[in-house]
Amino acid sequence: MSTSTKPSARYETWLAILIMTLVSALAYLPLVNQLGLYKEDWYLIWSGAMRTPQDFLSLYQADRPFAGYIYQLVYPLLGPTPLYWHLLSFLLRLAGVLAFFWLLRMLWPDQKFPTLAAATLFAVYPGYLQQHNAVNKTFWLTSLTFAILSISLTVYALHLKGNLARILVTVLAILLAIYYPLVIEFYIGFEAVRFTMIWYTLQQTERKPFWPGLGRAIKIYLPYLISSAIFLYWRVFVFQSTRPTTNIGRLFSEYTNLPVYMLARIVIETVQDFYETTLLAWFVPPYNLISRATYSELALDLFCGSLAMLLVLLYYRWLKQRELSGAGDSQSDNWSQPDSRSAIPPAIRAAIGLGTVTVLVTLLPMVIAGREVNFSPESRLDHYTIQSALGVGMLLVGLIAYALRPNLRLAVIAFLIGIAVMTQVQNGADNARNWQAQRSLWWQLTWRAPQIEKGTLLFVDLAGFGFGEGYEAWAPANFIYAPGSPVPVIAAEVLTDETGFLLQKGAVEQKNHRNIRYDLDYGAPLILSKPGEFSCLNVIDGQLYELSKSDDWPIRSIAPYSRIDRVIPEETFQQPPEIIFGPEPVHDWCYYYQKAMYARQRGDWEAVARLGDEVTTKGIKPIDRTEWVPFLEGYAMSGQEQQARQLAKLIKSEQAPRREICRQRMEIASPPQNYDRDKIVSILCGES
Amino acid sequence: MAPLRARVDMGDGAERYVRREWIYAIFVILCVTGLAYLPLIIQLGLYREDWYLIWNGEARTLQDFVSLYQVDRPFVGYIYKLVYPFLGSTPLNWHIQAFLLRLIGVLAFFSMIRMLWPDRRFATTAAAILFAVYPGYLQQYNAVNKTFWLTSLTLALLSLALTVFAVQSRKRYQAILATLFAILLSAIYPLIIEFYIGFEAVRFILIWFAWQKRDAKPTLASLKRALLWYLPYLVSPVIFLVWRLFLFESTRPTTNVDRLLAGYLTLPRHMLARLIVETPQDFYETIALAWGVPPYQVFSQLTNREFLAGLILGGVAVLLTLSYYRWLKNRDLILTGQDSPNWTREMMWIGAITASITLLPMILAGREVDFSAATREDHYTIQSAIGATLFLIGFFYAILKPKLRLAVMCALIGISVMTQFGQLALKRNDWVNQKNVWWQLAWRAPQLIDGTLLLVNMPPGSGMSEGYETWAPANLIYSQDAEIPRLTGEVLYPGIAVPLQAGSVEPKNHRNIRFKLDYGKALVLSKPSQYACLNVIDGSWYQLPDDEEFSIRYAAPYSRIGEVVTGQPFSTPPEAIFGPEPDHTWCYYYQKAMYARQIGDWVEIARLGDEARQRGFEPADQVEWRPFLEGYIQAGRAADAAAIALEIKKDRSATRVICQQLESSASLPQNTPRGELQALLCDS
Repeated sequence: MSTSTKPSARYETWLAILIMTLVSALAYLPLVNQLGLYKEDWYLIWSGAMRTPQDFLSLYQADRPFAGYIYQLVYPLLGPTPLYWHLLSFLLRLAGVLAFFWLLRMLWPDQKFPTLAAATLFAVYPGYLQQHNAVNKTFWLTSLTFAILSISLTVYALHLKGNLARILVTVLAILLAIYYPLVIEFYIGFEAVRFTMIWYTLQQTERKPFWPGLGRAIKIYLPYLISSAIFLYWRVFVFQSTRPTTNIGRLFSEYTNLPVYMLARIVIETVQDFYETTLLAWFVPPYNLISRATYSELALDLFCGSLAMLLVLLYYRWLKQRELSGAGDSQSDNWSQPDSRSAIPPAIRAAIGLGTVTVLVTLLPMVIAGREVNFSPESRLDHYTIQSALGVGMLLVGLIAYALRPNLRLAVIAFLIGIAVMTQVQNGADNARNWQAQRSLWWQLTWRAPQIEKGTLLFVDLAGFGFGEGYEAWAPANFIYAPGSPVPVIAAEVLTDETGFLLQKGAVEQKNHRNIRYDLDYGAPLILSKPGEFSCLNVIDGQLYELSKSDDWPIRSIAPYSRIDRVIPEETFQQPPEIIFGPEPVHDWCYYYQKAMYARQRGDWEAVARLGDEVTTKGIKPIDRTEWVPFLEGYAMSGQEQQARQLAKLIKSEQAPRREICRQRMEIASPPQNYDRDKIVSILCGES
Repeated sequence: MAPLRARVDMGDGAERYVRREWIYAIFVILCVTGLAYLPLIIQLGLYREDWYLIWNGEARTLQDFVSLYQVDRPFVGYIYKLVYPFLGSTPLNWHIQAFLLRLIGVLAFFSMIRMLWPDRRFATTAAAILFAVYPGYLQQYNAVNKTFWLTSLTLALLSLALTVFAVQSRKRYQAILATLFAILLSAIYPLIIEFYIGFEAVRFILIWFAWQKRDAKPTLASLKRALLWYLPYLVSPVIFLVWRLFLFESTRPTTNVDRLLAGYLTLPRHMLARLIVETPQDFYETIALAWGVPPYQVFSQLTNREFLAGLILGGVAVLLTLSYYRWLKNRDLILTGQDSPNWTREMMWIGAITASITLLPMILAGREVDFSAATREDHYTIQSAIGATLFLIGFFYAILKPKLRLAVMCALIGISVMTQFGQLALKRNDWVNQKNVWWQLAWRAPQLIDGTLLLVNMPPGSGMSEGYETWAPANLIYSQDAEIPRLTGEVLYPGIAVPLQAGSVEPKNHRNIRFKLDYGKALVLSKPSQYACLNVIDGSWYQLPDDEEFSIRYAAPYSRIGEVVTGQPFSTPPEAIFGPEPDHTWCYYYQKAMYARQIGDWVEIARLGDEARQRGFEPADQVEWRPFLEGYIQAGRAADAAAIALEIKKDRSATRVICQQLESSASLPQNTPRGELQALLCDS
């Protein structure tokens, strides 16, 4: 690649690879052992653990039938341990980055620093914040890495002299080119990138006039065109997607029904997405994440970001020193050339041009398919940027080299890398907190509920980390309460206005999520709420419940429907699989609270009072004082009124929740058998 | 004033264009600012705090404006007392005034930087334009409330410009007059917004810098001179600080100095850490992120049409800027001049210092810049926007090649104009929603009982965050002269669940407007979407769409339709505020039918149904046919009832909602034709 033969030039490639690996590691690895499973990860891991590898195929039959093969292959190796998936995800990302770096070095062998900068910007690109969704994004990253590798191989083949080697490499590139769009169809835009790269490489090596050069590029591109044509034929005419967003028939009918609107949409959306992907990605996601970081998280972000910047600067310094000693080709290294007011240097122009084309053509299929880039954390539609991020890397480095004076170029590149690393680290920190909250929720449920009735429909409100789909609750619940069952016996649904309505009606519906079929029995709901970071899980008993002041409208509206009888009391307590949920947390306040709630459900007031004594002895207290209520009831019902009144005083400081609890207690139509409502009400709600 | 005094050293040909350039620059600034804020100005209305201010102006005396602000900023009320008689309740007047205030501030800033860098024509004009359309501040729509913010800012900027003028002036009387006037303004503006006091540090920097430029003396000598010159200005901030710290007792927590001090004393390390972290963060947000985050937030909510309109306006703004640049270039006015070669560095330093020290008092006061639309804390950026724009312009000139520099500045101007326009387009839609709700309520309810507590759910994009956004418009419609709100309102937040259940009464004091929130007299209103009609919920017989908010689901049973007084003349919303009555389309007939349903006038419902159908109106949500169905049944028009039932049954969800309530509700109004409804809708 590099024209230089000096020893330092040989080391340079390895050093560059080391720098990119280290910067990527700083971005993604600092909290990797604190990350877990998120969103789609859950049903994939559940499927892997409870069903056969063959079943992975059925999961993706509806939209991307070749994605399942990846899991069929990989799951037996990695199993359900989240850490392994995160490491795989990191390695896949790194492989893509290195493939891209190889491509860049083939295109501009003398541009040492700019190529490293572009690849590093791609590696830590802050417009894509889905690295934590490791299991699910395995097939996305596989497809992306294959696509980049395939293009790199194509360009490599052009540089090869021997026919056999060239044919072999081309065949490998074609094989990868066949596979990657079968996994993610809208990555097909990479085929236009491939053509552009072929054309550009030929221009560089053969320096033919435009038209003959184009003709030759088309000729070389033909075999790849055939594979793309086969893919498109299959996707458009053979494959029938049953998932609306990937169904070509539905899309086609939209275009034929509203052609002007859809065309206008393509133009506007492409412009908008281009702007968002190239520029706003460096503003909006960093702002969204870093502005809500805690101080300690911010310190970690800053540390990693600064270290990444330092690495890049040291690498530059190393390069510069070698240049001064004659290493590298300073004549063609535009990066360190003084400001030139004349024409734009060819390499810079090429980087800007190729970067722009890459971003546009990789965004376009996604936009045509009716999707769009969106940086709102809830939408997670930033995952439509990653395929364009390599174009962003080229474009930005080209623009910076073109626009800025030499001494500032380095500073801006380092700054962008620093900000991007900070963003990725903060994303990791956010997701570490999310995983912590999820683990806490499921561990507390196992402390609270020995077993849950089959057919129960869970509604889970995890404050701050809302679930987007039912599988985020039913998959972990089935891991714990129905290990070995190839169908979910405990269902779950997200609390929305519509499901809230169905709940009130007690409807029964069938659900088919990627060929996993189960019933949603809205007449058998069990509602779980963890309203704040410091609140315990509240497994709500619709007859006898306490809501926190942090509980939002949805929980308030449906709390009375929660059926505590779905918790089967007299069974052995389950243990969440440690391989997923980690070791059992220390027995803090929430442990005693859950055990007290369990004892209350059984009417074992003596046990509740004992637990109350234990927490008092240990000096453990709740943050949310309404969590004293079961203990108050336990003391009151076991004849220890004095202690009950002490707790009543504590609870009274939470006026609004207390009033609500009092009202709820007074309105119970049929109190539990051994529950002296009048006594409780007089202690909790009386004036003393 | 600046161009007349500019030190010009150029050819005769160029010299005669100097005066014309000044006019051209102002013309471009005016036009670009106009493009950003004026295209939708007649479609804007009242928002948030605007409501209680306008209510106060209409229902109470001018003196009461003073009491509104006694709790935190006692001098603010005098502004409204002065201005309200001129502008009245018409939103447009306030929006024009807000625009003019903004413009005056921009021109003051422009003249100030022209005095400091007289030869940097394009750079200073571009800085003024960027300040005018700065996208990190998106509160221009909140025109009534932001009157005092903008007044304070404009006075501060005028005061600074006069200070610079005085320093540069070679005539003693001019200098004295300008200084006196500047001191006067500097005594007023912090009394309005206390955390703008950072401008006093900016003043010192400017005096020092202006002295250095004027006399080209060494740093220390000019520092001494600057200190002397600054002394008279020191008097007013000292008096202000003594008053604010030792005399004035703010009862509003966020502006209470004692509370703040207690925070620093109890948690000194935390507060110090906060200062260290928050200051650079806010600086970065104000200077850099403001050009990316708010534009993104606005653009992502726009319709394609709005986005295109914004694109066109942004494009025109760019063209105007380019035409000005070309004009300068053709007359050799771009690069000629004698400013110091370090002018970009000067601009960056002054910009950075200005941005930092105008942010600092706000951060010290426990506040922070936040671009999330819900918090509206982007209003803490505007005082620092002058520093941000100066810094950026200096930065662009320092690091970018000329062509690209122009392109980047134009891009920022274009994006900013698009953002400001886009924000106003969103607020225009919000105002349409608000007007719809209040006009429909006026059609539905002739009068409301004293003490009614309104709980309103607005369509997406028009969420309410304070009760006054409800009670103020309601009182302006139903009780224009009452000095205490006769009708009250509260936001639907989970904290009202308990009092709503209990029907309790809670006192409320909003800026010395005192009233009681009687949860036993709640009336719940919901307009769940842009297309649905307002649903004035009768807690005993109501239907909610499947996607109705949980808050409404929760509150609906507590809604007392008896709060709507029947048999009285209908109130008309004042046109000056709510605009002319909208066309009588479906929702008008629906509201009138619901009213007739309430009084049991079945014949009238049938008549309204006939008329609506004849005119081809139909609902977006089929459940809105319900009163007409009941009317036709009760009026004995079985065929029409069957036809309406068929319409409702087209929407299974609507049918299900009605049938479910018919089945389950024990408290339907007595005159509900339950059997007939079930036969027509549910028995199949």
